[in-house]
Amino acid sequence: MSYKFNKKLQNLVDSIDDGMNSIVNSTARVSSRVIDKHICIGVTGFSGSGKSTFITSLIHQLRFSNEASLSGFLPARDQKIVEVNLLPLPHLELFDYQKNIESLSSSPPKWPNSTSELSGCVVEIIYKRNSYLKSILGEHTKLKVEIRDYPGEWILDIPLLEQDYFSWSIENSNLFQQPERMKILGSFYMKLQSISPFDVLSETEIDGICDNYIQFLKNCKNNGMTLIQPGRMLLSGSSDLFSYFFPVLGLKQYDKSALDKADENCIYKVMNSRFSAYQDDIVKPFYHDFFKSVDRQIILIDTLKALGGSKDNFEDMMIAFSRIIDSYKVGLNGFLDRVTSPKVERIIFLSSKPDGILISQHENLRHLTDDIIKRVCKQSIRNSINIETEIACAVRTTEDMNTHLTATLMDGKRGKVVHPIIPENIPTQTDWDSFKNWQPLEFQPPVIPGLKFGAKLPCIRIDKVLKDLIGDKFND
Amino acid sequence: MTKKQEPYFTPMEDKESPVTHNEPIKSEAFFTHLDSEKVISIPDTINAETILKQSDTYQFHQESIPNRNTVRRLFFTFTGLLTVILGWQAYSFMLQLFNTNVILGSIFGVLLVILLDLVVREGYQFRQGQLQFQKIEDLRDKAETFTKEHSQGKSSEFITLLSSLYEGKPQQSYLMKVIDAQADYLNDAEVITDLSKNFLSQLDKEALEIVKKESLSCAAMIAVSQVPIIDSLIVVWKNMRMVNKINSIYGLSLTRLGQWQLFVRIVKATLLAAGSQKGMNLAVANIATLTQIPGTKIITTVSMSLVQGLGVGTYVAKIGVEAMKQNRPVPFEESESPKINLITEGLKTSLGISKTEEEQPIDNTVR
Repeated sequence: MSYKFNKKLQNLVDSIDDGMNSIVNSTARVSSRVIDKHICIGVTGFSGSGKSTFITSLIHQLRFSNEASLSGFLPARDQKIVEVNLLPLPHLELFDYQKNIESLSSSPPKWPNSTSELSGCVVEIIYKRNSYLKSILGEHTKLKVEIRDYPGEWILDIPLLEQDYFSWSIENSNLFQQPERMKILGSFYMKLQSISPFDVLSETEIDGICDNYIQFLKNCKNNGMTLIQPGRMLLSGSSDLFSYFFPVLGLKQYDKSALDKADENCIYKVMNSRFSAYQDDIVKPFYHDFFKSVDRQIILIDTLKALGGSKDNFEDMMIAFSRIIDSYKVGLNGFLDRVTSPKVERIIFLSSKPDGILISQHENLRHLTDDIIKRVCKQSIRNSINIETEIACAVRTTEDMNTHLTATLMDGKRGKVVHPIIPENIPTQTDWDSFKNWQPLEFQPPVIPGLKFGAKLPCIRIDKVLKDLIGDKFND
Repeated sequence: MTKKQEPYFTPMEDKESPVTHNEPIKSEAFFTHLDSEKVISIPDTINAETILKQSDTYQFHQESIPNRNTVRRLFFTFTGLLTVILGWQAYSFMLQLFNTNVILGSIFGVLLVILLDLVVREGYQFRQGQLQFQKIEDLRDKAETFTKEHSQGKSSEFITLLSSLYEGKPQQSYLMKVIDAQADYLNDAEVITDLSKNFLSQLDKEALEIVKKESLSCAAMIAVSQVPIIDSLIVVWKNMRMVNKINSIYGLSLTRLGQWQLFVRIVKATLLAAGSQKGMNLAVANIATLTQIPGTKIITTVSMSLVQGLGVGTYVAKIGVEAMKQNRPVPFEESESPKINLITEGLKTSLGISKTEEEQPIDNTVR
């Protein structure tokens, strides 16, 4: 009895403690926002776009800014950055910067493991003030930069929040008509088509179809497709978190209200409830915890990977990006907005991994990325917030020799690398012909002695990215 | 009889004759069914109007009004004529001297050759200075072009030209360091920005220190001095000295004549800027400040001297900043341009003039 009472009391104390901590953290965060010294940066990109490597490089460049040659980022160039600390975010695993640097420092160097869980950190930058404010406010001040990392697959689910099961199924029915998808679906398409929304299927049958659907999603990913929903079904162990679902085809011919009145056990109703549960329990919390508080957004686009695929894959990537961009709440952060409802005030589209092509082709890549942005980003977003396109590489792996690149492949072979000319606009059929047999190669990270102790991590334009992201916060 | 074909007229066949109202109109005559799968493109005749975007980049106000008077040409023609007459006179005089006394003639001849040598040297150096200045203007044009367009690999010409400007000068070694430290992936715009931020910013710092120092010393001198003619001479001399120092910081080595020429140009540019609204705001701001000197409500002789000092100091600072702008091979970015109001604030503090509580803030930022 006494033990039970003590246990309950302990739980109560713990919960009060948690609550107090949460209030303290929130208050600190809000007060930082008020004085504009807390900024949240969202790093977004599909699986394999290099988010974790990008964040690792960003932290490393800031931590060792004196060695990093960040000539375009004035606080670093002028050696104003005194100290950089990594602090955990409440209720979130700390972004494993150290582990990632150890991977890059290993022999042979390895890329950081792909992210499987949500993690984050607060990069606390202590820097010197400008001289005329020094005497009044003190010599040093702090800027807190909140960065969050998450598995790339999760982002594919964000557009689902705007949809219901009915419209999602119709959209998938249309997507399945694409030749590439139809080829991947194979006989499974016939199976899906044979299911009527009013059919009552057993659990075993549903599980079987779900397994086939997961396999289809995995095949889509392996074939370079991007718009793969629900994204979390690609991750192993996800069945413990939610019940799997799949689209029922041919819903266009039915009246939605009639479907809503159907038997609770019919497949449409079962899938509909699973879809809603997925939205409520999985996607919404992620959206609220991750996306809503982002002030500035970096969107990594692996343009070269998209060029290495087919025309269909390229268009699929553009559709996926446009869906995600539509999910952003955009606008300028005024004084009150900073506290009450922060919005994305700046988006930087970053064409990642440009080290895979010759420097002379970088501007073509920039123009191509610009062209993609024009297509995927609707006018209301382009006209209301600051959008920039940049080409930057978190860890540079190649050396430019004017006519070719030299690099080490993942298997350790060192050699010359050439590539087709990068088009300045969305590729035409002629361009696609030149890319028919080309795939961007995956290179080994460079060997950098002393990286763990702060040696310079070679990169491309990370200084410019830092300037665009947080440069304006160092004006005091 | 064979039918002769008219080149400008082709007769219609009976079946092509227009439908008369006596016959029933067949709808098929006005509508041709197309294959539904055929993609219909938009005819060329359907065009949307091109909307010209409103932009602030256009400027219709002319910075310099085209010179239509002939005074300049008249001056050069007159000077040329005078030079020919003087030359002819000197030559005739030398011949006359030779006829009278060979030694005197020789001495005169040697003096004439020395004079000619000096004139040619001065002329050559003046021309060199002009070419240097042209080079700076050329660099500025190129820099502006590069920063507007994202090109790659074209900036090497700019770097060569910039290096030649600082060849054999104290700036050369620092410039080389900055060039060597540049990343290989920079595009042309980034190369220019990098040079501006990492090399020219160092020159700017030094130049700005001179501007601050000279404007303060001018302001103090005017505040103390009570003789207007001496004030004017001091200001001209100090301005000239300041501009020459700034010229040398940015790598210009001009002859005295060239220095005057550039000085006049800078003063003209400063006057033009002063005529603008921002210049007017600055003047108004200064007068407003100076009527509120702490401890007094009456404009005394001392306060009038301070007024003059601050006014002249501000104007000297404006000339200095204009000299920096004229000499800088890469135009200032909006954010990095030296701010006159900061220098003026420094002057006010140094002269013991500070804002009173009653004073309303006035935007006197001039870039």
